Amino acid sequence: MASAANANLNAVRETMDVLLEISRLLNTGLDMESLSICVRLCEQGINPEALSAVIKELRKASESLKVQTQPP
Amino acid sequence: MATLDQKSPNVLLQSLCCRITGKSEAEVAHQFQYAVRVIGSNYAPTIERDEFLVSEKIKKELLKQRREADAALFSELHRKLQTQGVLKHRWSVLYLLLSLSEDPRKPSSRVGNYGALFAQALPRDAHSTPFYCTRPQSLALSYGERSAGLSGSVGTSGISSLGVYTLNGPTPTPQPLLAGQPPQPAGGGGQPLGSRLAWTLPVSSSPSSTLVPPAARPPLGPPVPAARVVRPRRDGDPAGEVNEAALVRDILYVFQGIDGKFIKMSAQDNCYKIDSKVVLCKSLRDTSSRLAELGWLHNKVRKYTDARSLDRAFGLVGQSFCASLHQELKEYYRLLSVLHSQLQVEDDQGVTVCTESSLTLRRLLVWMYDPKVRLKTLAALVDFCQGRKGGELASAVHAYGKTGDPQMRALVQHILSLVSHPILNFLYRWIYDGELEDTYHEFFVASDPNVKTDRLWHDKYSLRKSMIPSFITMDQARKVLLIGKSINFLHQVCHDRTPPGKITAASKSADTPKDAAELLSDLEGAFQEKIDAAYFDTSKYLLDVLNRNYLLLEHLQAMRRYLLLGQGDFIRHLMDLLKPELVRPATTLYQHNLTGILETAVRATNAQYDNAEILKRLDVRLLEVSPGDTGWDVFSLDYHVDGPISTVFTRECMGHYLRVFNFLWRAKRMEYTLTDIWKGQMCNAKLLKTMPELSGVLHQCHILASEMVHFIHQMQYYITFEVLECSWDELWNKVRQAQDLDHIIAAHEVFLDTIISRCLLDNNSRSLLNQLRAIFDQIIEFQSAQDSLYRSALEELSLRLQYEEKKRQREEEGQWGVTAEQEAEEKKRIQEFRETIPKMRSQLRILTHFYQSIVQQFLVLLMTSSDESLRFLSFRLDFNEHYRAREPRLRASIGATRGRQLSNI
Repeated sequence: MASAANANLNAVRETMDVLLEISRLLNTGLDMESLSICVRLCEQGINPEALSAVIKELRKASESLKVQTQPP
Repeated sequence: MATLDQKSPNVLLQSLCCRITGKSEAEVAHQFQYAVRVIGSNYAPTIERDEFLVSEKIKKELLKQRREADAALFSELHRKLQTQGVLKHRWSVLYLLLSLSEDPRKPSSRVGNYGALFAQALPRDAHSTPFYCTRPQSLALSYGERSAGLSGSVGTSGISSLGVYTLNGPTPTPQPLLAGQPPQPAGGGGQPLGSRLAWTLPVSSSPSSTLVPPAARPPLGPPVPAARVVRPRRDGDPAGEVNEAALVRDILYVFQGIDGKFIKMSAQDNCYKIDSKVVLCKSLRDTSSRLAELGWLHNKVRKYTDARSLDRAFGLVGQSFCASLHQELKEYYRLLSVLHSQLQVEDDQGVTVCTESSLTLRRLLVWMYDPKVRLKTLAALVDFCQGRKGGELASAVHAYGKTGDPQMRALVQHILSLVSHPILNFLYRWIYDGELEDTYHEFFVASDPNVKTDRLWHDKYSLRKSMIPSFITMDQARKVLLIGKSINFLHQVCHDRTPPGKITAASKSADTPKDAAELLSDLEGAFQEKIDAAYFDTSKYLLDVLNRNYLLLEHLQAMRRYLLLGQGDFIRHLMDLLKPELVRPATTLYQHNLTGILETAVRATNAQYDNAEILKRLDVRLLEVSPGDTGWDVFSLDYHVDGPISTVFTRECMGHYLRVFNFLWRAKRMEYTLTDIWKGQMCNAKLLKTMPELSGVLHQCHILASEMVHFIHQMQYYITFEVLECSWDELWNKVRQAQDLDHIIAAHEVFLDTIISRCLLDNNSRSLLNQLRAIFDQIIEFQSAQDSLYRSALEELSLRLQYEEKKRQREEEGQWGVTAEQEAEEKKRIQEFRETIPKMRSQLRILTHFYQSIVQQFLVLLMTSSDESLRFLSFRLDFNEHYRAREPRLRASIGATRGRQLSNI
């Protein structure tokens, strides 16, 4: 039982590694944690189009905030 | 992190927002709202869900960027991913990564002016998150949608009485109006909120004020912790007067049976009371205690349903009663939730002054008026139905429906339709299939499992009088009982395997529950018709089966012919054959001999043409022998009944038949005996002419014999024509017209009773019967007396003839005819014979006298009998007033009866 769970854990970890590699290749700019959240959302059937749009918007928003806060 | 656990998408989204923007949860609230909206509104993907296509696209993208090595690496990685199979939506992840990918050669385009994006108010999504709505399979619906669905169902099904009221009632009850719905302008006609509550609600015009984080919305039902309930504006003066808003909030909890801050359940007074320490002006105190009554009523109803819904023995009817109460309570809760949300809106607005649109106690009083009446009715109903179940409960509810108040009647009718539903289900199951699935003894037909099939018709099923609902009449109930009983009888006793559908045409259109409810409320006629049709069809079928397969009517006729001596030639022949057997003492009779004789009699007479099925059942039976009985006393015919027909010919019935047979057999025997007597007289009359000394005694014999013949003839006439034929005709007509088996059984019992009483076999005419028996005994005695008379006379005659013969012979031989010695001897013998004659005469005289006195006694009893036909019999027996002239009592009694008749007129 424990070994099965362990094997499962390993598989999940490997998958995440692969995905992180692809992400790096494609230059998405996602770190491990964001990626894992995104994968979980996708696994729950979220529309990836919408998710990507949200992430883009979020990035833009945070950058614009930074821009606003930096000058002074 | 490594495990793909199923966290709620919301939580994930929130943490994503935090991660990307690098801020705390509180700060990213706006972004989170936005994210939720975008994802919720774009649920269905616009692209093809094909992993291969996506991976090809990625490769193309990489090639476009002239990174062939990376493309190869991607292929490798993708293959690895496919082999692992941990992910279910690989295409989705890949697509996400693709769309996030950026060409490293291009300058970053991340900078832009998006500040305005989040500054925008999103009124539509401020409260209800569409994301929730669109994913019903994994998340609970938002409250707005749920209640909308509920109210929709209310409108269409028309079950709920609240819905009815809002349609018809003069004062519309507030529609469910929820915080989740967008605030409408006062005059906004788009929403169907034309109710009073709708336009009294405040208009929240500023979107920012309505923006409440979803998690902070107060749940319904259990009270929000006191910290939330008590708003700062109230905490200002705790010692001072309680303000009205606080009371309203309290009252709303009290409505649900929960103690408020100031108003609490008082155990000793059994009512809600305002804390006596609270300072409050009198009018508010009064109003709130009047409102608090609702809480008390609610508790009462709630307590009943809570106690009963777990009680399995309470039965289906009780359960549906509880369900209907629950339904009403649900409506009530819905109303409360509307009020709650209204209060919430007010609080969120931070209204500190009582504007004209806010909730006040007085307003509540008006709005809660109708619910209060309803709750009162329910509470009364609950009180009245305490301790009742099944049909009794339905009767109780029905009794409450007889009110003039249309609203109350609608409410009770609605409850009644639910409550009676299981009863009607039982009923239809019973009258169409004959099955009784009444685990909790709620139905009005009871079945006794101990009764064997031979008594099924009479004893197995009975009516439970207390369980007959008051909307079903006794007559209907009886018919219902009969229908199911007939079906069961067919199945279990007749072994008739016809499916119930073929018996009754009506059962094809077996009723849907909706019909059932309607049947009760207005179309009483249709219900009656349905029962009548089922009754008619089933009974007719049962009678057909009994007549066709079990020859009920033939058996009835056989009873008449054999046990009631209807088949004259057979009976006569049987008597002829039996005579030598039956004169012997009863102890020397053997049944097998008699059975043989019976068969001979059957073969020799018209009985042989009868149905073999009937002849098979005909048998001889010997009654119990008491010392001194002859065969005549114990002989009896018997008729075997078994199977379905024994329901009509029960053991008691057969007992009656045997008694009647015995009586008839005895009377028949008298007729037979008198025939023998007459035959003897006719044969011997000429022979005995030579003995003139006998003429006197013979004359006496003739007179007595004629008297007896007259009597027996009149008796036989009476029995045959006035008793048997009349009753038989009546029975036959009734049987022909019978609609169900019970009619036949009843007619048959009436028939037997009539015969028994007319044949003087019942208790009232015991004395008459004793006289009749005595008369019969006299006839037998007379027969033996006459027999001995003839025997001695004929002996004497033959001796005399012998003497004469001898005399003549001797004279022919040339001798003296008689010697003096012989002559003296002859004379002496003749003298002796002559001396016996007076003895015979006196014996006959005694017999005659005795006989006449018994007949007179019998006539006296007949005269005083209450039965008309018996009085007529007495006229017939004493037509020439022979006995009346001798018996003073007869004259007196005739006068008396005539006088009585006159006085009656």
